Amino acid sequence: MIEQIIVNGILASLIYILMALGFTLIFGIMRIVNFAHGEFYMIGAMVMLMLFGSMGLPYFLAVLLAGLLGGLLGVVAERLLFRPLVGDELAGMIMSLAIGIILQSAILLTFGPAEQSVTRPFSGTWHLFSAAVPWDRTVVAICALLILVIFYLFMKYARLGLAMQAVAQDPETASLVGIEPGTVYASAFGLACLMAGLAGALMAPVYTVGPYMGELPMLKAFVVVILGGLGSLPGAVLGGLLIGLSESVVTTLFSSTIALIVSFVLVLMIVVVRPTGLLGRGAR
Amino acid sequence: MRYRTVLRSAIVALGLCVMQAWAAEPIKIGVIAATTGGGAPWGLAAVQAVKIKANEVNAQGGLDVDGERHKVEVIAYDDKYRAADAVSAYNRLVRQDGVKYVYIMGSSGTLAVKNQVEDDQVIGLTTSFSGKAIDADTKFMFRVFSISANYIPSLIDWLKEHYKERRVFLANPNDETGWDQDQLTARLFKERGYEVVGRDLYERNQKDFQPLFTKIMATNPEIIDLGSTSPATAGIMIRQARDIGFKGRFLKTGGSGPRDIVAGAGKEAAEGMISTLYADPNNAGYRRLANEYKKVYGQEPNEILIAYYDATSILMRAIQKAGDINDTAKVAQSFASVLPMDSAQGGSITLGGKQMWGVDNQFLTPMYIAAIKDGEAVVVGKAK
Repeated sequence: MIEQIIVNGILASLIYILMALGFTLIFGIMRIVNFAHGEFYMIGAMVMLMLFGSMGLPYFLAVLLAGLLGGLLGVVAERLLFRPLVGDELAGMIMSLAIGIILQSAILLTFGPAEQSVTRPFSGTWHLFSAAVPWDRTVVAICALLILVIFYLFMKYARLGLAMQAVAQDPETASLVGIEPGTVYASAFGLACLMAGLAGALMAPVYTVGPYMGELPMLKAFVVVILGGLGSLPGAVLGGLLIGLSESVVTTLFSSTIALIVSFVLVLMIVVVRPTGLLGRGAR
Repeated sequence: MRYRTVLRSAIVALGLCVMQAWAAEPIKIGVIAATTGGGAPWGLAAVQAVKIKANEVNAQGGLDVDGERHKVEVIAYDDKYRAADAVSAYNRLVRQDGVKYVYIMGSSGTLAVKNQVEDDQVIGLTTSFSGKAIDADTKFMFRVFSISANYIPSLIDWLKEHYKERRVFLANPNDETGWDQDQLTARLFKERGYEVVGRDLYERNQKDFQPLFTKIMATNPEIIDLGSTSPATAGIMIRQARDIGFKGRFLKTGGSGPRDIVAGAGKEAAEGMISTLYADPNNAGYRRLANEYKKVYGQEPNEILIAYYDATSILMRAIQKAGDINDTAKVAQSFASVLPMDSAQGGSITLGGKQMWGVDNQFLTPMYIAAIKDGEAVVVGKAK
C-alpha cells in the first residue's frame, strides 16, 4: 500500500509541476497572475480530442501539436492583451480572468457542455514492487519528466532561457545589457502556455475533457506556486511534489475532502511563517 | 380576382386565430439543472424533455385551459449542481421571468429553494434524491420520479438473489445527494445481510481517484457502489479502479446513465455493472423521445429524459384540471386527480409518498434494473 501511495503521489505531482512551472514563470517574469492558465490546459485537451480522438492523428504528434497550439495562443494573448499590463498585477489578473471565461465559453459553444472521453492510447498496468501503475499514466509521467528536463536545460543553457531568468531577476539591468523585454515576455508566456497545453493534451485520454476541466488544475497550480514561492521555478517543483504526495497520503488514509483541507492548511502555514513561499525570493 | 380575395381573407382570418391563441398569457416553465460539468447528461436531458413536451403542446395551438389556449414557454438556467447558483436561478425565474412552475434537478438546489417554493406558492418539481426534499408540511414541492429510497430495497433484493458477493464499499459525492445516498444505502445493505466494508465521500470536481481506490482495495470489497456519482465521473472511476486492480462488480444505486459510464470506462471495464434505468432504452415510446433529443444534440440522451417528459405531461393535465394557469394552489391539488396516468413508455405513474415522507407529493414511476453487457445497458429486471 505504501508503494501505491507513493506512486499515486508522484504521478499526480508531475502534472501539478508541469502546470505550476508555467504559471510561476509568467508571474516571475511579467508579474501577472495568469488565472487563464487552466484554460490553456483545457485548450490542449480539446485539441487532443479533435486531433487524436476524432481525426486519428498519431498520439505523440497530436500531443505536440496541441501543446504548440496552446503556446501559439499564449504568444498571441501576451502580445495583444497582456503586454500593456506588464507589472500591473491587478489589471493583469482581471485580464486573465476575462480571457479564461472567454475561452471556456468559446469551447462550450463549439463542443457543447457535456464531458467527453478521448480514446485511450495505452491500456493495462505494470507493477512497481506491489504498486499497480497504469500504462497511460506511465507514458504521461515519462513525457512530463522529459518536458521538465528540456525546460530545465533550456532555462540553464539556452540564451533565451538565460534572458528570461535575467528579466525575472532584474528587468532594468537586463535591458541595460541588451535583452529585449518584449521578446522575453512573449517567449515566456508562449512557453508557459505550451507546457499547460502539453499537460492538458497528455491528461485528455486519462480523464474526461470539457470546457470546465481547467478549473481544478489551475487551483492546484496556484496552491503549488504559493507553497513553493510565487515566481520560483525550483519552488514549483518542490511544491508540486509536496502537494501531490500529501494529497495521496491523506486521501488514502482519510478522505479527499481532508486532503483538500490539508493542502490549504499547508498554504496558510507557509503564508504566515514564510510569506515568500518555501523557495521564493522577497518582493522585487 | 375573387379567388385571391377569398384567399387573402382566409390568410388574415387564420393569422387572427393564431394571434388570438398566442395572445393568451403563456405558461412559463423554469428548469434549474446542471447543463455543464459531470451532471450535464442529466441536466441536458431534463431541459430537452420539457422542451419536447412544450413543443408538442404548442404545435397543437397551445394548452387548452378553460377554453383559452396558452403557449408553453421553457426557460432554463444552469446551476452547475451548486446550491448558490440554484438559488440565483430560482430568484431570476420567479422574480424576473414570472415563472410559476419550476423544475429543480439537484438535491442541494432543491433544499436551498424549498422554503421559497412554499412561500411563493410556486409549483416546484424536483428530481432530488434527498429524503428532506418533501415532508409533511410540503404543499407545493413534488418529486417527479421514484428515488433510491423507493427502489433500492428491491434493487438490493434482486442483487442478493442473482449474485453471491456480499462485501460492499460505498463511494458517493460529498454533497447533499451523496450524503443521503450514503446513509440510505449503508442502512439498506446492512439490513439485507451485506457487510459494508467502507464508505467514502469524494469531491464532485475530483478526477484523480487512484488514492481513493488504493484505500478501497485495502478493504477488499467484492462490490463497489458508486451511488449518486454522475455518469461521466463514474466512467473515470471504473477505469481507474480496474487499472489499480479491482476485479469485482460495480453497482450504481443512484442516478443513471450507462452510456456515459461506458464511454468513460470503456466496454471491458464496465462489463457486468448493475444500475437502474428510468427507461427501457428499447421501448418504442422512449425511442421516440430519444430521437427528438438526438436531433438537437446528436447523441443519445440520459434516460432521465422520460421522467421530465412524463412529469411535464402530468403538469399540463393538472393545469387543465385546475382551470387557471395562475392558481398554483389549485394546480397542486389537481395532481391527485390526474394521477394515475400512463408513462410515455407504458406503465402507470401513481401519486404517493405519505408512508415514507408524510405527504403524497411524489410521482411513483416505473424503474428498471440493467446490466452492462458488451457496452450496452440490457434490462434484466424491474425495480418495485
